[in-house]
Amino acid sequence: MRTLWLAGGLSPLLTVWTEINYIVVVMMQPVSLGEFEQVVLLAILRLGDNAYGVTIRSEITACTRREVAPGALYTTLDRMEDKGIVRSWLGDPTPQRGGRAKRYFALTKAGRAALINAQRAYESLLDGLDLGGANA
Amino acid sequence: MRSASIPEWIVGRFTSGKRAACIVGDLLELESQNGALWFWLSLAQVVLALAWRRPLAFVAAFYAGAWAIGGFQMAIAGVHAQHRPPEYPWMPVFMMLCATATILLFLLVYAAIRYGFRDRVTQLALAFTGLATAVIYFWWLRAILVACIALSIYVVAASILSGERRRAAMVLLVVLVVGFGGGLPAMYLATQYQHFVYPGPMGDRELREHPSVLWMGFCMQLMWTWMMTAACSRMHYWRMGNQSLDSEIQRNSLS
Repeated sequence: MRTLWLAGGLSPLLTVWTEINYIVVVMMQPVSLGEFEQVVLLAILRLGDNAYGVTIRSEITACTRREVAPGALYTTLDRMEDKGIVRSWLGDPTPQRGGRAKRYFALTKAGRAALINAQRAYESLLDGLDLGGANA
Repeated sequence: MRSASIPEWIVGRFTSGKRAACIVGDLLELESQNGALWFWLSLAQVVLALAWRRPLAFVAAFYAGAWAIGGFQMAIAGVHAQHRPPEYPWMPVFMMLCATATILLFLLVYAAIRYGFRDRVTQLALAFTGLATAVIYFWWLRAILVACIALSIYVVAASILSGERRRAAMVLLVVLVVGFGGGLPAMYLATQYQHFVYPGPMGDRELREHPSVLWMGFCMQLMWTWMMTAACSRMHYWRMGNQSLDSEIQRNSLS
C-alpha cells in the first residue's frame, strides 16, 4: 500500500521534473544556425523590405557566386520560420506571377540575436589567425 | 502567362496551399528568363526537398521491420535454447513480445526519421523498444526483468498523466493494434501461399525453385509496412498536430 502511495506520489513529480528538464535543456538553449541559414539571414537583412524567394536567391548568388537550389531555400526558410528566426507575410498578387502573392521574409528579434551570436563565434575563431589574405 | 494550377496542386500536396502558391509564383517569375525545363526541374527539386523524409522513413522502417521479424525471433530462440524456460506459458508470451518489439522498432525508425527525436511518439517508441529488447535478450536475469517491468509501468503511468504523452501513447497504441491486425493476416496469407506452392518445410533449394514464395512474403511485408506507416502518419497528424519535419509542419504554420 505504501509502495503504491509512493509510486503514485513520485510519478507526477518525475513527470514535472522531466518537463522542466526538457524546457531547460531544449527550449532555453540558444538557437544555433547552420552555415546556409546564416547566408540566407544575411541576404534577408541586405534586402530589407524586398526579401522574398526570388530576390533572396539572386542576392545569395550575387554575393557568394553560389547557385541555390530552390528546394533547399524554401525548406530552410520554412524551418527558420518554425524556429521563430524569421517571420513571413504575403504581399499583393502580381500578374507576372500568375496572380500569386509574394511571400516576404524578415528577421525576428530571436533571429537577429542568433545571427549576431553566430557571427561573433566566427570572429572569435578567426581572431589571431592569418589566413593569407588576398595572396592565398 | 499560363495558370500553372497543376504545379501548384503538386506542391500543395506537400505544403500549405498559400506556401505552394508563393513557391510556384516565384518559379513562374523566373520561368521567363530560364525556360520551361528549368521550371519543371526546379519544381521537382522543391517537391523532393519538401517530401524526402516520407519515402526514406518508409524504406528504413520496412527494412527495420524485416530485420526485427527474424532478429528478435532468433534472439528468443537462442536464449530459450540456453536457459530452457517452461514451454507454457513462456513461449506464447515471448512470441507476443517479439511481435510487439518488432512493431515498436518499426515505429521508432519511422517516427525518428519523419518527426525527429524530440517528438513524443519517437521518445515513447524508443523507451518501449529499449525495454522490450532488454527483456528479449536478458529475461533470464531477474533483476533486469523486474527493472524493465517497473520502468514500463512507470512510462505508462507518466504517459497517462501528461496530455501530450497521452496523445503520443494513443498514436503508439493505434499503430500496435494496426500492426497486429495487419501482421497476423499477412503472415497467415504468406504461410498459406507457401503451403499451396510447396507443402512441407522449405530450405534454400526449395526457395530458389519457388521464388514466388519470397515475392509473396515481400508483398505482405510491404502491405504491412504501408498499413502501419499510414496509421502512424494519420494518427500523428490527428493527435499530435503540426510536428512533422517535412510536410505537415508547413501545412499549418502560414495561416
